[in-house]
Amino acid sequence: MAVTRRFFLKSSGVAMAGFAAAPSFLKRAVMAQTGAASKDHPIIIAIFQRGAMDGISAVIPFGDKSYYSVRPNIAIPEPKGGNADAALDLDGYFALHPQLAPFKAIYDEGHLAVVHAVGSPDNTRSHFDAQDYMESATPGNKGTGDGWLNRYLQVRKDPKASPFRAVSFTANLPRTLLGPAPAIAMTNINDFGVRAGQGNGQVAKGFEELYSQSLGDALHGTGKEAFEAVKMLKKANPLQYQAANGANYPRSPFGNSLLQIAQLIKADIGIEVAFTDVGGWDTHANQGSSRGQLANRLQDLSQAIAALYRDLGDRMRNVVILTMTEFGRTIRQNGSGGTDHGHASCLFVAGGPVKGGKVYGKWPGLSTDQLYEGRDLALTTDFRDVFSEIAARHMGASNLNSIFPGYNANPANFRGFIRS
Amino acid sequence: MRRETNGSFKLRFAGRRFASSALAVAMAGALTFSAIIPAGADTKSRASLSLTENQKIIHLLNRIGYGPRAGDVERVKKMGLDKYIDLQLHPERVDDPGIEARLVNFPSLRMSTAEIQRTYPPPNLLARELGLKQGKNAALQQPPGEGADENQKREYRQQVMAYYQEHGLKPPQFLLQELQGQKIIRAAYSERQLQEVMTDFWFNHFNIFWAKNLDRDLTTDYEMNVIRPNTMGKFKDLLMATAKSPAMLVYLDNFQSTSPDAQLPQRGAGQLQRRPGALGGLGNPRLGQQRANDPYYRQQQTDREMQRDQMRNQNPNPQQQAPLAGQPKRKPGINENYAREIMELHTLGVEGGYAQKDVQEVARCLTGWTVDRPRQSTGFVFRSFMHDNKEKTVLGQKIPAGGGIKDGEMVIDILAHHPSTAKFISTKLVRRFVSDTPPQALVDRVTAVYTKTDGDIREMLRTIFTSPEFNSKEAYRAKIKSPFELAISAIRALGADVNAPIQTAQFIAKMGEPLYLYQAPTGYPDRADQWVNTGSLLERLNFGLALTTNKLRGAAFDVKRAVGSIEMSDRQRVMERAIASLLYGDISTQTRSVLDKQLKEGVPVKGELGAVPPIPTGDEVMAGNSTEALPPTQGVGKGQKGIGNPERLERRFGLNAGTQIAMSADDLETAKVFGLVLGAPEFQRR
Repeated sequence: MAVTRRFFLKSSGVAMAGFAAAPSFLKRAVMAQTGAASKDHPIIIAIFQRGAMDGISAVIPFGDKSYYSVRPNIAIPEPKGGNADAALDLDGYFALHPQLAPFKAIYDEGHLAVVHAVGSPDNTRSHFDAQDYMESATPGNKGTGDGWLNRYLQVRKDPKASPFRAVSFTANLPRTLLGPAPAIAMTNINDFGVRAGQGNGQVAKGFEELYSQSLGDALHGTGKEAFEAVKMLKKANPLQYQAANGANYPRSPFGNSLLQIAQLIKADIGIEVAFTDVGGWDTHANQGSSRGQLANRLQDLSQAIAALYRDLGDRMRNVVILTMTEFGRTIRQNGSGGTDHGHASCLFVAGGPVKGGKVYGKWPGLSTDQLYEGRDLALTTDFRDVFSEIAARHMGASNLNSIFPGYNANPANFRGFIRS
Repeated sequence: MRRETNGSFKLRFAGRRFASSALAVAMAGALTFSAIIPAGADTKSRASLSLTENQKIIHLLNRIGYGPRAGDVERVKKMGLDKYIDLQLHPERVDDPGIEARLVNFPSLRMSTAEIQRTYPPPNLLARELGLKQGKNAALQQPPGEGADENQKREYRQQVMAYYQEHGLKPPQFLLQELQGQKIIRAAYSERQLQEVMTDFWFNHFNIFWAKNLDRDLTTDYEMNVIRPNTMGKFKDLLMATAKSPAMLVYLDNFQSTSPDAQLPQRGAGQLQRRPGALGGLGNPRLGQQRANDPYYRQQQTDREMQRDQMRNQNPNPQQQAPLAGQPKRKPGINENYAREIMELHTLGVEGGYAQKDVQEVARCLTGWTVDRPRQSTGFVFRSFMHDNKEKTVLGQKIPAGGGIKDGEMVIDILAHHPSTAKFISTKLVRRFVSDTPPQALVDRVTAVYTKTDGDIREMLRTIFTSPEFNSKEAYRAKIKSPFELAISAIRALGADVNAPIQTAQFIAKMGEPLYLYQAPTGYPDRADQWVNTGSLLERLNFGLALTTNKLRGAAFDVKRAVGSIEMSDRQRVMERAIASLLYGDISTQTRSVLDKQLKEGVPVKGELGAVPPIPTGDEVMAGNSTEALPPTQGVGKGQKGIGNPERLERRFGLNAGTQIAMSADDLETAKVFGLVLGAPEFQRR
């Protein structure tokens, strides 16, 4: 259902008030270092914005004079107090889309960072390919069988890992999590299991045994995983955890996914990698500016992520939320009031370990000679430098070459948005 | 959980064995309907390299159709495999009695697009353009957005509801339900099985997304008139039909792709700005005949109607719609979306040898391929004023200046005759019908047939079905059924009667395949790992249970008929009947021993079944993109009901969601045995 503008303003007001209080997870983080919470393990929540988000509408380079001339109709007005449709100033050069207001509080607090002009060096403008490349983290190479998050799970093998170590809130496992390391896809925690009514246990046991043989094929392996997971989830009962700290998730599939990710995290069942995706970014026509199609998507995105951030409260000290999108969009608006497939875009990183309050990356500029192939935002940060910084500095992976094959993932290229 | 990773996601085929001969003998005596036990189906024949006669038939029925019904194997055996294949390749020669009768409750299938648009208007359009404009309460003239409280919203909803009911109209959600329903019913009951498989295949190949804007109204026409008539003819005809289909032109945005140099007549534009609320579809008395014939005026109407429709889907907030009225005239421009996908996904394949430059040139060729007045007549039209009439070069071939509509037709000809297309289409067909890893030798032969026959789909299929690769042990049960295939094959094997398929469609979505709702132009990937993960596997098991225990409304399984003369208490024989009718006795020793053990320990338990959990519907899928005022989708953690909810649709519009059959405790016990066998690994494969 519609989340109205008034509702949104109201709830974000509450959100800001909440964040004005001391970020207590920082205190806990200090405690963690002294061993008081040594059981903590890092968690990454990866969010794929499928369809290619227009990066320069999300984080507006209002300081770049070319911005307003290339987008006569769909530009976001530069920051101006009292204008609800104006962009929200971040650093005097970049500003957030007004519908990303929920991000502003977290940014100001120092736990949300933007990386701009980021993306894949491959020049494909196909959604399919670009998503494939970003999820496998091997741009230009289709032959990679597994996804980068799966490879992270592989290199950090944990024989005692929970079946919920990696969970995707999607109907099927995303490319990012495909591979030999086990991962679970679900859309609703409640439905995860065999539903045979009374006598469920007996029927479930029958199914379990049907899949208990180690035939080594996908079907049996999946079956075995499934039944172990069902038992564990039942015991942990994540649905007992309500949204806390006044967190207000939008009533959208995306909001619902993030709420459930929070519940799994609170249930302490060993989740380490969470994934979900959100569509609707392919704004070829009638993209809108401060309001409209893209604005609605940004509203859903930021409300849901801010709710998750607030809901997890102290637990955010170990959590990094990472957004990604397959490419950016053309700098010039097209004939349909929209934008076509482009090149670089921007992404958001949020969480306790994030050195936020900053827009990272080198700005390539928007004048024609500065554009990629004369039409798109040029790339100054390879997305693998962002992913590998999180893998290394947040998740603690040392074997970056195995996670990012064919790429020299070098700490010298890290943008430095994770506290070291 | 599988902790040791063997690094292999490839399917292997180990340890599958036939039922023992002893069982075969037992069953031969016990069964009243065609349990097919391969002659000499023991470990000896397993060692041989070819499929038995019965396996060949089962395999064929699983691949060129949605699995055998009771008696099908014997019927095909009697007729002969070759004749059956030949008949299936000519669906027009196959009698299909009874199908139309089963589809009588789906009126939209027999409507023109214009009729569909009149009968299934979106709620916001109704509210804005019809009765509610003259409503008592001015605040309700527009869908409530900002500032509307719950009471207002409820009142608004009630008024729209009342209007639907008083005028015999239905919300667009019904279109989706009828589409999904006909697909399920035809696949389950049509004798033209291959026609259904190919309709599914080509729809997925030329995928569109029902919920994208006007495609809600256009998808019915797309399946009935674009895909279905062209499933087994020449590939080029199918390609041309999709290229000129309103649904595809909308889905991939080509309807508005315009040459930047287009000569824009100025008249007409001012008139349009004056009455922003007017929709051609609902009649504009001021529309003069002269203007009606003006192509520029009509394209502007196309744009406006499409925009309006997009806004309708995207945003119910009237304030946020305001920019439409005063929106500066859009500068025309090229849209490359369709040009790229027609090469990458429809013909050449991503490595088919085209460059970004070709995408741009194809886009130029296709400028002016648009839709005439989408909310009115909704036909393909070529508008020369939008077209880039200069010379182009596509894949090295010159397309001379001044070609008009012929430019796009030449592109389609070039693409249809390109060797990469022959290879790409052949590979996809072999993957669908033979294996996730298509045998190269067969792909090469099918490619050669494509080239020789000018892309004759029927001949390509014949080559596949009669190939040794198709009829090999490697191919037997090598494919994991998609959720749709699983559901339909279960319905067929059980002889279940589906008369109201709404819940069945919802369960198929839950298993991971929402029908007509795959958003990306790629269509669903055709490989096992798309369908097999812990969550979806559990749902597959749950589907079998729900179907056999009659938890699915609108689908009835007669367990008494299924067991025939067998005493319900004779559990051993019930189990054997289930194995025979669902898997033709062809199960692994492991599966058999587990099932035997279950028998001893007592599979079923008396009592009530739990409720079917909420299942995602089209509305929920769309909620990411849509905030339609009327159907509030399932809220977070709450089961809020909107008009997209079947129960409410049923109450308000007399939607037939079907009945649920009550079962006795004994029947339930027996039914669960069938449910268990449907969950066996063997039934997950085809």
